[in-house]
Amino acid sequence: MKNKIITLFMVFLLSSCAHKEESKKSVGKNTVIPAHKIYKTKNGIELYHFPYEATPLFTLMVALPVGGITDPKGKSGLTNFMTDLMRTGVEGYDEAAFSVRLDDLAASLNSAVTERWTIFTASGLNRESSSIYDLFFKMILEPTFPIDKFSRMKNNLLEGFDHVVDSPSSVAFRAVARIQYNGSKSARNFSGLLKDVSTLTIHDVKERYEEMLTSEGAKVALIGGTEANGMVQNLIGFLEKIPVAPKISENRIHKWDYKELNFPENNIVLIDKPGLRQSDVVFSYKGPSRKVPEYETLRAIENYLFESQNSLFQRVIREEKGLSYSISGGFRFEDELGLFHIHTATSVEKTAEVVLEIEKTYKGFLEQKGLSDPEIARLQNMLKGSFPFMLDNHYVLVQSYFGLLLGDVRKNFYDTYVDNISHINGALVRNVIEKYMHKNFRIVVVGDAKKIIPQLKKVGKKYTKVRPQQFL
Amino acid sequence: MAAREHILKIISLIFFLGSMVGCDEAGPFVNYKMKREVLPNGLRVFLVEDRSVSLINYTTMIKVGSLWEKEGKTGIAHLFEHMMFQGTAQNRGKGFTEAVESRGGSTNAYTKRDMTVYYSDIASEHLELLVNLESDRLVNLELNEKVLANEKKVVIEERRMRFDNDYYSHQIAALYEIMFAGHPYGRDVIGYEDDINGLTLKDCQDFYKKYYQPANTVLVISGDIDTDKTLDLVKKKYGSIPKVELEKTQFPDSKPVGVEIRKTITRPVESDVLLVGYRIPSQEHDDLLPLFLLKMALFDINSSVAKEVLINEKKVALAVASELQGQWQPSEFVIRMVMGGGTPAERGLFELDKIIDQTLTEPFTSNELARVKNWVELFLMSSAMSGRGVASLLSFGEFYDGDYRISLSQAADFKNVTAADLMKVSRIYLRPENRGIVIMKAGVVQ
Repeated sequence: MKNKIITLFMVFLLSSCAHKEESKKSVGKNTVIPAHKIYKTKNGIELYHFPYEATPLFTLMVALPVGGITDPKGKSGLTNFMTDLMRTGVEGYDEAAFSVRLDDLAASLNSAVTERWTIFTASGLNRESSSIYDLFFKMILEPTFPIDKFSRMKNNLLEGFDHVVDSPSSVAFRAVARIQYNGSKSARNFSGLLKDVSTLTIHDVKERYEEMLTSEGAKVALIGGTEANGMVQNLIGFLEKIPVAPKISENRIHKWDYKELNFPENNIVLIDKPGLRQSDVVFSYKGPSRKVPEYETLRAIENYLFESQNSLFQRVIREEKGLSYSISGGFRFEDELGLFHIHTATSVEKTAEVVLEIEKTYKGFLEQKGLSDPEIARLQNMLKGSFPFMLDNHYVLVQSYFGLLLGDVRKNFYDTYVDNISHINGALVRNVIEKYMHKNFRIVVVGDAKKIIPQLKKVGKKYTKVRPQQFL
Repeated sequence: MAAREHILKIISLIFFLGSMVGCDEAGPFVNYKMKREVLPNGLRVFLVEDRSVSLINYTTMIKVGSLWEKEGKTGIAHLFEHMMFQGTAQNRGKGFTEAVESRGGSTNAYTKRDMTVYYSDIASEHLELLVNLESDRLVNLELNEKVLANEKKVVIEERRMRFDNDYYSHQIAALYEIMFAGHPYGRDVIGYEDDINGLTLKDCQDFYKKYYQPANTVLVISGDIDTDKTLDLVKKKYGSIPKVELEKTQFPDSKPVGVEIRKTITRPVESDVLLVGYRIPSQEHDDLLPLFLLKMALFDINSSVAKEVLINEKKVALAVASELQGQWQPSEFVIRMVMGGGTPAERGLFELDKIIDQTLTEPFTSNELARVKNWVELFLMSSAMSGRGVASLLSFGEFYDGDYRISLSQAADFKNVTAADLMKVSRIYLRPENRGIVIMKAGVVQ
């Protein structure tokens, strides 16, 4: 279920919705987007304030319109690294003093880098909001980027790459990204490639910071507090200190500096990790972008295949065959290219059997050419019934809504979601399967090659054996 | 979730109480209507009403986990958790999950040392459905050989995924073994593979009959419910289940560590990992609260001593984490350090000991202690944003103390925990002779 909620939540973040001043909308049965007010600061920032008095907490999200997609060539991971470094020293506080001050206020300050946004978040108790704002904006406006902290964090980051190798599923999905998106700007890993991170300098960081810090196109959400308690006006004062600077041009988006990985298309990419008792198996092909109009139908198919204990793959792989504890999959909706994938883990001696069983199950699904009316009705009930979970509490709802504002998909997501589900029918399902679901997969297996290779040979599967480090 | 929140339940109750009686920012707590009742058959029912969103959470806590398992039968509590989803005469096969999931809800379960917990989240219009389904499978579960055979395979796969394939789990298991030799806490909850394969249908039937009884169960329903009507519904569906007197269980003695025990394992990981476990008392002991504050001050908050010294200043560790679990029996306070820059784990232990020694001679300042309490307060405010969140926290008080109000009444002294209390528990528990150490060396397994 957690996966389901996260998936839905992420889609919310990547969608978009129209708004009005003082808006209050119906979104599905029994649910309403909280009333909010929109302000425009003198330097052009849009501030969305969602008053909330039931809990004495606030969350502030400042989204600056510079994301990882414009990391300079050969400097992947720079924006992400820069935001991490911003809290290691600010004017008036070294790293230790900054940490103490955070604890004094019980304040959480975080940052995240997406494709097109750098998002800084602060949260804490309303009564400390003024002091938390002060610290938060020191981090944004006055970072000192101390050189010793730069060196330590860079070393830690580089060592962190080594630990990716410890996790079979992390290795598997890094490999899938490299194989499916080679050279594409979509689905880049914004924490960067090992070879790029190793070349980062303090000069790169400072230069990137100057580019990132702009009010032009920035969006801000304040959840909590009221107009009366001064939290909004106080915030506007801080926001207006962010300088107006031009956004980085789209021309800066360069070809992703991957070394081309030319594995034969029909070969399984077998990533060798000796000693593992289980193998991770991932099937994938390129999927639709997040701007796809048939989103709800794809969600229904995803549910049919994976997202309940009675879904097709859970039923066959887990319940009937006992081959795995769990099997997951579905669509990942990205800016341009998405991904369809199937992922499971199985005992090493059953690796080839699982590969064949997934192929057979998926092929059978394509051959059945759609879903029956009762199946579709069941899926519609599932999707409609799970809709309220996206709107679970005030904070989930508002954060999701702000996510819509940062996205660029369709303008009426809340208003149309339930209706679109109601309109799913057999013909639509068949069209979507025809349009988006392919016959051919790339297969990645992470496991003990010595034990897996004889199995693959026995069932006539070709493979290319590689080391996990190749995908860092 | 459960183990960590278990200790938090005590802390949460204290702040919960504090907020209710004095703080003008108590809104999130006082708005929830609560009700509890013990039915004649022993079933404890705890209800929390929150009409803000049309969702409910339905949680069934059974007082059985790996602590109750005998040698040779390890893993049965967890395997049986899987069997609870295999159907009744009324809901054959996967009828339970299908009924919940086809309505957009979700259902799952987990097994710990002390408990097995089943939970479902669904739109509130389906409350009666869940009461029917859950009361049904508490007494009418159908078990058969075919399902058992398949579920064993699934559990073995789960074990390989969570345990065999995860070298950090090997290290934890080694720590449990040396700290709790001869006691069920010395084994991983999921059980040994051979034991799981050897479990029989009769084992499962006996287990069900012995432990899945109303008097061994806490039922927690929260969210968009009317507490009075819900209680009536629960009485109607569960009330007819006969009362069965529970056998008193005698657990093996949990012997103190007595002398520092060290073990080294080698795995193909990228750097050394240090794991240190200190024996701590069982869940009802007064020392758990200052121990928990000590843990936060040393390892958890932004300005914690460990982060400042081990990561920032000495640069010996990439990450430091800790966990403290108050349980039915004496358990462990675990510290894990992932070494950085090729630093051996032994150096990490040396630095850790220096930090702990300091807690014996230099009390935390009032500001340092206040910072820890700030975070606890914030955590509680955040947790209480929904009635389901409040129910989740208080349910552990209901489970362990028999009545969540007892936890409330015991919690009044919390804000008075002092730096001297922290020093005292450090002296009592963070001693070398009270700990086990497992070092995982990065290397090739021979």
